Amino acid sequence: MNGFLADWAGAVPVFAAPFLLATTGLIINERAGVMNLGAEGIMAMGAVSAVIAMLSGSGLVAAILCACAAAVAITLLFALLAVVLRLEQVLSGLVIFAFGVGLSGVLGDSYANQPIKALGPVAPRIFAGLPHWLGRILDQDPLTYFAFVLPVLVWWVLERTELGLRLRAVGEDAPAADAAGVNVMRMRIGAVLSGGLVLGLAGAHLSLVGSQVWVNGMVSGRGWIAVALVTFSRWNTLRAIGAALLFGAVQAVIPLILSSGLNVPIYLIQMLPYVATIVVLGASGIGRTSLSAQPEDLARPFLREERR
Amino acid sequence: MKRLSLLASVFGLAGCFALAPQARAQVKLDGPPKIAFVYLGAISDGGWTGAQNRARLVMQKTFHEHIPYVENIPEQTEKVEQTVELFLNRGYNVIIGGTYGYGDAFAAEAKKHPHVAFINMGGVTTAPNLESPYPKTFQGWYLAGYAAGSVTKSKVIGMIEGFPIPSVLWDINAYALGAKAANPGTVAKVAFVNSWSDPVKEGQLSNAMIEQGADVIATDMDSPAAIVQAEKAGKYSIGYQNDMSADAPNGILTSVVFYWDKMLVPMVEKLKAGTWTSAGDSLYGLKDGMIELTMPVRHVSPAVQTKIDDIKAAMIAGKFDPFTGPMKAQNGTVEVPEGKVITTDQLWSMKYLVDNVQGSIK
Repeated sequence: MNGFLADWAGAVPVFAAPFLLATTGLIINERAGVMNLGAEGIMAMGAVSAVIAMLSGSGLVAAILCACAAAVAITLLFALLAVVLRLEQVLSGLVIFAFGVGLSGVLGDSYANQPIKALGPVAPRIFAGLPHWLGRILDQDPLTYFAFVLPVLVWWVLERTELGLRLRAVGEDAPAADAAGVNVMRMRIGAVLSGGLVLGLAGAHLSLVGSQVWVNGMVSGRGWIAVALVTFSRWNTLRAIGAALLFGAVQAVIPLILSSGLNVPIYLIQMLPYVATIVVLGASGIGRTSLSAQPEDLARPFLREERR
Repeated sequence: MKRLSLLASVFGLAGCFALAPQARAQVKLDGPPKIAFVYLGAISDGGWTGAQNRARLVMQKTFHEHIPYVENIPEQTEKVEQTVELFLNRGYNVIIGGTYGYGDAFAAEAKKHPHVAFINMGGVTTAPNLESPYPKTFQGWYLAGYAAGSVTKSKVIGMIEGFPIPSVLWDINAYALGAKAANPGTVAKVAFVNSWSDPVKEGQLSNAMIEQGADVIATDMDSPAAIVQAEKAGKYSIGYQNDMSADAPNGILTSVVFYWDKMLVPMVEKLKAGTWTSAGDSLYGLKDGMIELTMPVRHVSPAVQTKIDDIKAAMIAGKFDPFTGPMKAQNGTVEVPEGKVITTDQLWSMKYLVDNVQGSIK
């Protein structure tokens, strides 16, 4: 299994990682009942902040922390609008989307198109003895590895801890959770900010691993694809791994086909991710499990003793 | 007074048409040239708009005057017209635009304001007072392809492009032909990003090409993302529009650089002298200094450098054209027969890849 397949398999994790991070971040939000459509803008803030930090001379770890901090900062605004002020969540999300994309462009203006040092592979030598294709798959950077570990951790916290139970309760039935003594607002703010932090990581992955350069508007709709992947993974971060891998595989094959020199219709090939999104959304709409998987109180602001 | 001048201009225009309906009339400005730029992107885009802004800075120095600009004006006719009108109201009479999509707005404004000179870089619409120039980028890419062909060991080189339109296709075709001239049997892979800017995808395409054997990566895009990946993989690279040597300091061979000022400065000088006429849908190349390669080309032998200099001199002298027959498309069709040179019409309708290009445009 060398050549084309090994190239493909080796490229999938890097393609999947930003989607997986973003989807995980959004699932944390939505399980607490908050729909955050600002993902694209928050990722842009993460991406630009990582680059600004790198160009200002900080190390990779500091750059990743900067991305998280910037993402949390803009998410704080979303939390204020959507959770504290209880504004319409869809609109608040769209505001954050536009604001994040715009602000990242302004902040990154004098840092655009300047290459930064890449986030390198963890330890290529360890994989030298393995079969070529396996080595290709495992030879990834730390952020990509983290992208695949995080969903497992998040799943464990959500499904196996009291904190997770409380968070899910807030998302399923906020008044009941409130009556049981859970501070709904605090729980939702916590979930929104943690989700924002992970979205910042997704943005950092795009600029530190993907492009190694900041260009205005470079998130290019990837945040919206993550919004769709949340539904496809049925609000379950373990399923998100599968969804992101499937999506990453579709995306990773495109450059390989395009650069293979095969005389294939390029527009059809480039349509694949969008076709996959439609198929994925269609598939997630089939069967009752998907409906019951959606948090009951998703996108419903909570006001104690409000008639529902 | 205003009405008088309007009347005069109407008669003046009518007079022009009466005297020489076919000939291009000299454009008389209302006063000394006052220049303003309208940009599609941000001046920090590192590519298209950045290159145009370099020209504006040169013009500021040359003419000792402040030249204003606006960035990020989308290709929407109403928005372009509003922007142009704002400049006109402030007394600007040389309006320089920066993209194909301004064409209709500029044509409408040019018709409305015959005493204003309009120049739209990358456009195609024309009027007696509207010129739409474009660089002969293929001349630069032929030389860059020659350099790529002479350093490739795998005989596979690559190029990342935006959309398969004629002015992009002539770049990959010239690049491939240049490589073939230097090293027969070399193939050039091409991949289209399907966007003018998606650095993540540009980097991914670059990596995929390297995995499939390409050892020289050229970018036809604004951002250096593709050549940054080539540098990381230890491969050679070629930059575009601006000198990208800082982005790939070890592997870069050269960059195909735009110097819009070489075309704009003479135009404004002619406008000052009252002798400017629109050249219509014009092309400017090596001869005008509009396109340059950063020299010397790195990583090539002195013999190759001499050869590149010779080909460049031949193109400047008009003795050689990259698209000289016999030139065959991928499917074997002879696009330019033996002994013939491509015509301007054929250039603008180029919808094929030459026979040593690997890739698809359908």
